[in-house]
Amino acid sequence: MRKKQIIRVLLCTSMLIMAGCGNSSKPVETSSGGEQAEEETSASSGEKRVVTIWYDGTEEESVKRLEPEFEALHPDIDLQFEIVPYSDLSTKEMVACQSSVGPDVMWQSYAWTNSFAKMGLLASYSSYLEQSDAIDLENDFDPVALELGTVDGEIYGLPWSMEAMCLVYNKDMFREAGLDPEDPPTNWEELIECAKALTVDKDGDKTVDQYGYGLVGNLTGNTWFRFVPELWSAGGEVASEDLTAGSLNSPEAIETMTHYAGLLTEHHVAPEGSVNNGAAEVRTLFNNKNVAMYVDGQAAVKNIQKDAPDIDVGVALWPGKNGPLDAGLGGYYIATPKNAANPDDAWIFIEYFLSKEVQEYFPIAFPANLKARETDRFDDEISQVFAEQITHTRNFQPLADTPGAQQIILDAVQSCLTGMSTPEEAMIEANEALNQILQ
Amino acid sequence: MDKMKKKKRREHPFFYLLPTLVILCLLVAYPLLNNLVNSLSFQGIFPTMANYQKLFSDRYFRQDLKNTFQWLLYTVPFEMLFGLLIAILLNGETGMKKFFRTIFIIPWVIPAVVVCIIWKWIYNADYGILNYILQALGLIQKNQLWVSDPKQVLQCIAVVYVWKISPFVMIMYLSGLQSISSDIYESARLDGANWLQQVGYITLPLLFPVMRSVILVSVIWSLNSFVYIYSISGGGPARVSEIVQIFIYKTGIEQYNFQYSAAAANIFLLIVMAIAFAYISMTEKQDREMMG
Repeated sequence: MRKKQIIRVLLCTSMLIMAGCGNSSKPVETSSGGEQAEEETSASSGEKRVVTIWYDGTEEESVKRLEPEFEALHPDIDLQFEIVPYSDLSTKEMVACQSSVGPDVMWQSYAWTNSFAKMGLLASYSSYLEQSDAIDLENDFDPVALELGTVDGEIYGLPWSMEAMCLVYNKDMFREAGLDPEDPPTNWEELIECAKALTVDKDGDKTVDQYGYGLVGNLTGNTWFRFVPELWSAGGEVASEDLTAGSLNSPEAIETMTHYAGLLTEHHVAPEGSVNNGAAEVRTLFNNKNVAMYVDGQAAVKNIQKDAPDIDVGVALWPGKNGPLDAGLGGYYIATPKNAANPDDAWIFIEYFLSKEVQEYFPIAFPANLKARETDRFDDEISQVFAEQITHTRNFQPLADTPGAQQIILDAVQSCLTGMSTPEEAMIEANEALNQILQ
Repeated sequence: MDKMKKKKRREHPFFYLLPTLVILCLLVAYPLLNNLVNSLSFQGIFPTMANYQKLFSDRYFRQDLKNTFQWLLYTVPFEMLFGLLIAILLNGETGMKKFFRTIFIIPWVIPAVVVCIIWKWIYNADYGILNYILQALGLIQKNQLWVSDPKQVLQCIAVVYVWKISPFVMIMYLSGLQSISSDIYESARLDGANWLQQVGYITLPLLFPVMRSVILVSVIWSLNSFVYIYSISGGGPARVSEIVQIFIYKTGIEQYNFQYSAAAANIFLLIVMAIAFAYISMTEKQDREMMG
């Protein structure tokens, strides 16, 4: 009798587990988009060919416009947009490219496309481009933006948006500190001077309430995007030109770290807790009027204007060592996995997507299609500064292990900010670690 | 008798177990084996242990192992202590028992990520409310760095973890306590036992079976906790608060070095399993004595 009961209990548990699995595996199937979903939809909507597109949900409003517009032009193609959060996007894409089920088109960050292509995970667009009338890369696209999509002469990814960071500052705080809000700092020296004037103890309790500069000292990508351009402005670079050896122990790199960490450790113009501040935290501090200046991109400024409408936001070219520096180029690429189910129709979508007409209303940042930049959407003062900064940009070196290098830079920045090591010690150690991953 | 036998044979117990076994194989055995194969690097067709060799010379991995055990020491004993203390106090003849029980369970109910984001700002070195309150009370003169200080970051995050997990421990103990008959306490009181003696000679021994499993679960959870450290400090500053779970995530998911990360995960699995087995066999004897 007892055995029977035990078996009954086991049976019930197994059924429960099965029920649980059944429920939870459903959304996974549909979201991974694979062959199954394709078959289902082609059966239900009368032999339509499906193009699956993965993106991170930015500009969702504009994406919603694309689907009906494109499907009206191409009634035989069914576009399926699927949102994958940005934090999971690269990993999911990596998995999709290595398995046999994945999207036909995916959005990528600049650095990913290059390493995906080098790993042989992407389909080449070169043959499509040769025959295409719609896309004229040479004349219509920014050449700096194209660099990272090309590997060994083959084009594996196409840029559609371009973003560069600028110095963002609070004009009211400049006025309060007796500084001219229309004359923001242009080099390191002026930046430190300005930041000192903007660092104040407002209520006289001997603790600072407002810091001059919002230093980013947390999160690998955030710190990388803010440290490496400063390094370029001092004449340094992350690795040698052939990418075989690190050059983080150069005098330029040590000088850059001395400046970067010195904003906190020497000049005390940045929050004491900067090692815990990623870009999002610094933006929150800026919105709360705790920080007067920091470095961020175009989309972030839009968010500040929405979240803190009472702040008079100013934007200036990012001050480097001896003047405005070359910012690191960011933005989005599109690429197609090598094993994509429907690359031909994917190309039809790409031609449409990169066209002047679509790009004119599409990105918050600047379109890589130069013809699409001519709209009046970018006529305001802030966009003009960002437009100028876009012409002063550089690509990050296409290291095979960029995330690894980003971690190394973050470790160096954090150990300097907390006083665990001097800039010199930190950069020598960082270079040793970098040499290990470059081999 | 003969009939019974026939009936029994028709039950085919393994057939009924099959769905569970298949699912367990899919969910546990396959990932384990796959991870094992993944962790080997191949030279031609011959598997090598290169990843494991590299792992033991990786100073971050060694440091992270040390951090993980420090983390274990900072969390589990305090969780047990606070959980038990609150449970014993709530089990007494307190008024508003339900009210306090609800209050204490709140941290357990809030999603971990939300807890972490709130505490991250509480701990903020410049604008955190903790510094503000401590200064207002006159307990500190200068703003403390808390999670920005490499010397105390792990302890600070352990406080958050203990705050979050203790309510669960409390509920488990409370259910154990409520199964202890009040008659035993009554007779002890008649014999002149004071409160401490009652706790020491009645409550704790009778609670042992519950305690045994709560400690095991807590140790495993603590070793596997990822969210708290990852969302508060990200393992920083400069990786001083990084535990093995974060190492595995960073090398595998962030840096695409899946093989290396798989090797680290396997090593860690062995360690956790060794601890669990040692603990179970150590306490089994005691458990039997208690029950017997």
